[in-house]
Amino acid sequence: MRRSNAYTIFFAGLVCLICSALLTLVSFGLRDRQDLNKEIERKKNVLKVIGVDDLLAKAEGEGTKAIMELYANRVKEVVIDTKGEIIEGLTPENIKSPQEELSVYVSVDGDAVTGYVIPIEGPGLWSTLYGYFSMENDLNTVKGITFYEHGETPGLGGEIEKPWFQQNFVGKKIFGEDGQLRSVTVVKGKAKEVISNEAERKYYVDGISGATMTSTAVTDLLKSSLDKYNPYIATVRNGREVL
Amino acid sequence: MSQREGLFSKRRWEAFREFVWEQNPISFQILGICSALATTTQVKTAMIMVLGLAFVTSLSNTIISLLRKYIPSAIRIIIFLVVIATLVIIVDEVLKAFMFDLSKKLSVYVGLIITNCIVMGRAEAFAMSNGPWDSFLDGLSNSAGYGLFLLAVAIPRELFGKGTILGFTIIPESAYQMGYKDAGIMLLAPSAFIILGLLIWGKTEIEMRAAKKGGR
Repeated sequence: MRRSNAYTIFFAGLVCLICSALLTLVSFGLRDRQDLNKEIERKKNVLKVIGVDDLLAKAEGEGTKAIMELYANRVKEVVIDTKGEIIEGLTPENIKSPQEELSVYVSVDGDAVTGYVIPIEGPGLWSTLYGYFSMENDLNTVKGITFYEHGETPGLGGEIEKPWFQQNFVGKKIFGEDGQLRSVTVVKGKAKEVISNEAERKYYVDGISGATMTSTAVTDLLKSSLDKYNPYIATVRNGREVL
Repeated sequence: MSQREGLFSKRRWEAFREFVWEQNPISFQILGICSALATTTQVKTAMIMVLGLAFVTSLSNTIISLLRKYIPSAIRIIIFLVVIATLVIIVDEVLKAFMFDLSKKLSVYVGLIITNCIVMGRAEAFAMSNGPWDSFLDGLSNSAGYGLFLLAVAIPRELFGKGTILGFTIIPESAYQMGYKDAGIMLLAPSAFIILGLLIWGKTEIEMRAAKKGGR
C-alpha cells in the first residue's frame, strides 16, 4: 500500500528510535556484568597457562571469588618498557600505549618464581588473534599457550583454541643452541614428518590441516611478540630482580 | 480469523511439514546456503546455528507480522533488517552477560544469523501477509527444515573430515594404523557443495518416485 513520504520517514524514525533505545538499555544494564565476566576470563586465561589446572578447576567450581583469590595468590603483574625495564606503578589494566608498555604476568608459588606469561597478539587469516604464552622460569622452555579471542574459521583455523593444538607447544624451546631467539614454528603437516633432524624438532609443532594461513600467522605472531620481550628476557636471565 | 481455528490445527501441521520437506528452505528455496557452508564442519556448531536461527526467525516473524499493517512498503526491507539486527544484538548481549562460556562458543555465529537469508526471506514472503501465530510457526518450520539439511551435511563432513561426531571418536584408531586417512577436503567449503548437491538429488529422486507411484 502507498503511504505518504511523511509517514514513511516518521515510521522509519520511530522504529530506529525504539530499537536504539532498547539496545542502549540492554547494553547499559548489562555492562557491569559483562566487564566482570571479561576480567574473570582474562584472569582464568592467565591461570590456565601457568600450570595450576587442579587449583583452577577447584576455584571454578567455587565461583568467581575463588578465581580472583587464586589469581591474587599465584600471579604478580608487572609492566615493562621496550628495553625490559620495569615501569613502577602501572598494571596491565591501565596501560596507555600498548606499543611501549608491555605486561608480564609472573607466576609465583609462595616466594619462588615458577614461570612467566606474556600476552601474544597478531593478525590471523580473518581476525586478530589474542592469547597468552607461558614459559618456565628458565625463560626458554614453553609451558603453555592459549588463544582466548579470535575469529578464525571454526573447524579449521579455529582449532588454535583446541587442547590438541596447544598441547603441542608444551616443552618446546624458544632459544637456539647459540642463544639467539628462534621462537616456535608451526609447520605444514606433522612436525615428525617434516623435520627430519630429531634435535631440531623442539622448535617446531604440528600444523592444522586446511588452515595453513592461520598456522603461519601463529608462527609470525609468536616471533614478533617474543621479539618485543627479548630485552626483558635477556635482563632477567642475566640475573636481575624480576618483580 | 473469523472462525476459530485450533492453535495446532491440521492445516498448520500441513504447512509445518511442507517447509521441512517439500519446500525445504535449503533444498527447494535454496536459501541460507552461505551459513550451510560455514557452520557444517562440525555437528555441534551446526546445531547451535540452527537453534539460534529458530529463535531469531520465529521472533522476527512474529514482530513483523504484528507490524505488517503499519510498515510502509517502500522501506520494508530496511525495517526487517533493523528488527532482525536488534534481536540478534540483544541475544548476543544477554548471552555475554549471563552465559559467558556459551557466548564464547557461539562467537561469530550469533552475528551470522543476521545475514541468514531465511530470516529475511520469511519476513518478506510470509510474515508480511499472515497473522502473528502463523508467522511464528512458519519461522519454526523453516528452521526445522534448515536444521534437517544442516545436520545431513554436517554429519558426513565431521565424520569423514575428522573421524568424530559431536567430538566423539567414531573411526577407531586401528583404522588409521591400517592406512585410513581423514579427508581434508571435507573440512573445506567445496565438500559442502558436493554433499548438498547429492542430498538435493536424492531428495528429488525420492519425490519423483513417490509421484509416479501415487499418480500425482
